Amino acid sequence: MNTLLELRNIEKKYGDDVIISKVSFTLAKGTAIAIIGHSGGGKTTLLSIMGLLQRATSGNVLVDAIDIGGLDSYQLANLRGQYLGFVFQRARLINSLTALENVMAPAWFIRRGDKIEQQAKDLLERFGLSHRLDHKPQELSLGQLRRISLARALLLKPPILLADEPTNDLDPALAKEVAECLLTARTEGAGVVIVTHDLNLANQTDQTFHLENGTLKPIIYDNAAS
Amino acid sequence: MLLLIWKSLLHRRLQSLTIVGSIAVGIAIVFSILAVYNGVSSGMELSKQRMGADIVIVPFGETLEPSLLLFGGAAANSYMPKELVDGVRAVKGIHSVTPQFFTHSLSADCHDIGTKNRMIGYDPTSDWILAPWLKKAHKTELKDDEVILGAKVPVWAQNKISILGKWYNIIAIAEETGTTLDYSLLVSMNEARRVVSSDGTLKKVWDRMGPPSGLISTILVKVDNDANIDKVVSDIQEVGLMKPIVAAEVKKRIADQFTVFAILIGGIGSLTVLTSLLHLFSRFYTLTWERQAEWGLYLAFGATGRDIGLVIVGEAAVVSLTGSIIGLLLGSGLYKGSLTLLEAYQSFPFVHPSWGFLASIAIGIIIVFTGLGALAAWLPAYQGSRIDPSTVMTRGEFD
Repeated sequence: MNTLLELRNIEKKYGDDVIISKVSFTLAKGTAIAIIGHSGGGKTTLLSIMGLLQRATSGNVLVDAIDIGGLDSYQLANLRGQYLGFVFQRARLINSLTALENVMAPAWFIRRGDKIEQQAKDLLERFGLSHRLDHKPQELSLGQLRRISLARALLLKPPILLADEPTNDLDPALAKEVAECLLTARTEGAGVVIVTHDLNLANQTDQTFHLENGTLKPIIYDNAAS
Repeated sequence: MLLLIWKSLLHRRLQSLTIVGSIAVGIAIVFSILAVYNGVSSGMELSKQRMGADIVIVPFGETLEPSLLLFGGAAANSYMPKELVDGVRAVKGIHSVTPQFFTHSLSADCHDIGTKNRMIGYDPTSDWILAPWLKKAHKTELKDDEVILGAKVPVWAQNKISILGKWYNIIAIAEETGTTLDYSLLVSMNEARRVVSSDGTLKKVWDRMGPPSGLISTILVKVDNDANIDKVVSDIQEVGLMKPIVAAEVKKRIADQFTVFAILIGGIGSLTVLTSLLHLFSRFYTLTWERQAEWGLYLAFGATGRDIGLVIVGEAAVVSLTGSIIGLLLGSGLYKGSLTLLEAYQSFPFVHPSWGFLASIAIGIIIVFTGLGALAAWLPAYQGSRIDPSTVMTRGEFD
């Protein structure tokens, strides 16, 4: 089974407002997709639904062939812990914890403690932050925060990685670095979904979708022309 | 998770310290009041059981406060003729009487044993106060070089004590009674009279009242169970110039004063703790909403609502536990300080609470207040556990 995540006719409404309309797609192992679209167009909402952070009004979400429709909040939390890693729009680090502790934090909740500290240190070293292990978020630059956030998402090697505007506000060099780190997860077998305005980043994925008026449409690049 | 709780509290250390401080102050007051009140209650009870005198008769004109005379160990160098004992014994309703002879305040040769300590001569023919301790030491009466020490008399050598140049064998150390006896050195009547007769400062007294051999300082009286104590007191006053003090009345007055004191101060302590618990509730209630994005993040990691609730309750419990422990340490100091202060103004029957009692109230306070702290955070925790996980995607920056 290659499919990690599948959306079937997903619809999301807030009152009478339709935010997402009949969206279907699949995410296979070792692939990365990008979702682009206007601000306020529902990209983050769609990502939340994929991340099991909120439920769709109708339609089905399947994670590794498990339909989440009948699961309770406890089972959803377990699935999130097992399958999903998040890179949020803002770094979303906990200010009371050091860089190393922030990376390790997800492991505290799903009780995977073995050698986790060494793995976290290795990841931070990989991202050039081995000299910042004991620094608090407020002592770090924006680029460093993003890399820590990425290390945190990768720590437990989640099969599905969801990133919300990961290169937003970053200079081109840093954006390139973050993009490379994210897409490296694809080569390790993870499925990666990136919501972005950054067309350069979107171009590096295997498939780009445009979310417009709540509908997801694939974009076909004319590589020959470009 | 414990690390997360601890780091979060440290991160908001000023807020945490404020609550810890207010809980600690409240608990310090509650603990010290409980300890003092227990000491006074035990003192009351023991003085009733071990002192065994319903009325204490002192010479007319004795100006010392009855409470000081009964419980403070004050030296009362006032005397009356020993013939009064027979007159009192003849009063209807009296079960038994025994005289005692007080010397002055004492200082040991090598070490000052304190001005609160006095030597009391007892009458072996009628005494019931020393009898239990004499019996324990397999004796019927004390020789002139033997002494029974009150529980609070300081001693430096195991079997002997030197007073005014003479060595005495310590026959027994009496159990705590919560009364003047605790500060007394009990010797035979002969010995007490010998000691004061050689004291030049009291020469004027002997010139005025006659030699010590014809005098006594106090008469302890036990009344019959069915006797009317007011009538007995009135009849005693008919016998001669004497001042009968009804021990139960003095004790009741002190008990009433302490009850009011304990209610007032204990009430202030309880209100302080209550206020700090409300403060704790309000802080965690607010924090639950302020930290929605943080809870959302944990939920995204795979935390359950229960985990979020545990983090919130855990933070509240750690704050309460820390406040309780600091409060108990402060309370121990406050207990000693308030006791010293109270003793300076009022003599009262007091027996130090046992370590077992202090440990049990300390453990009780820790359990109760940590539990109350966790309970105060229960509603915020419940609400935190129900937060929509998607808030992590939509909320602003973390605190």
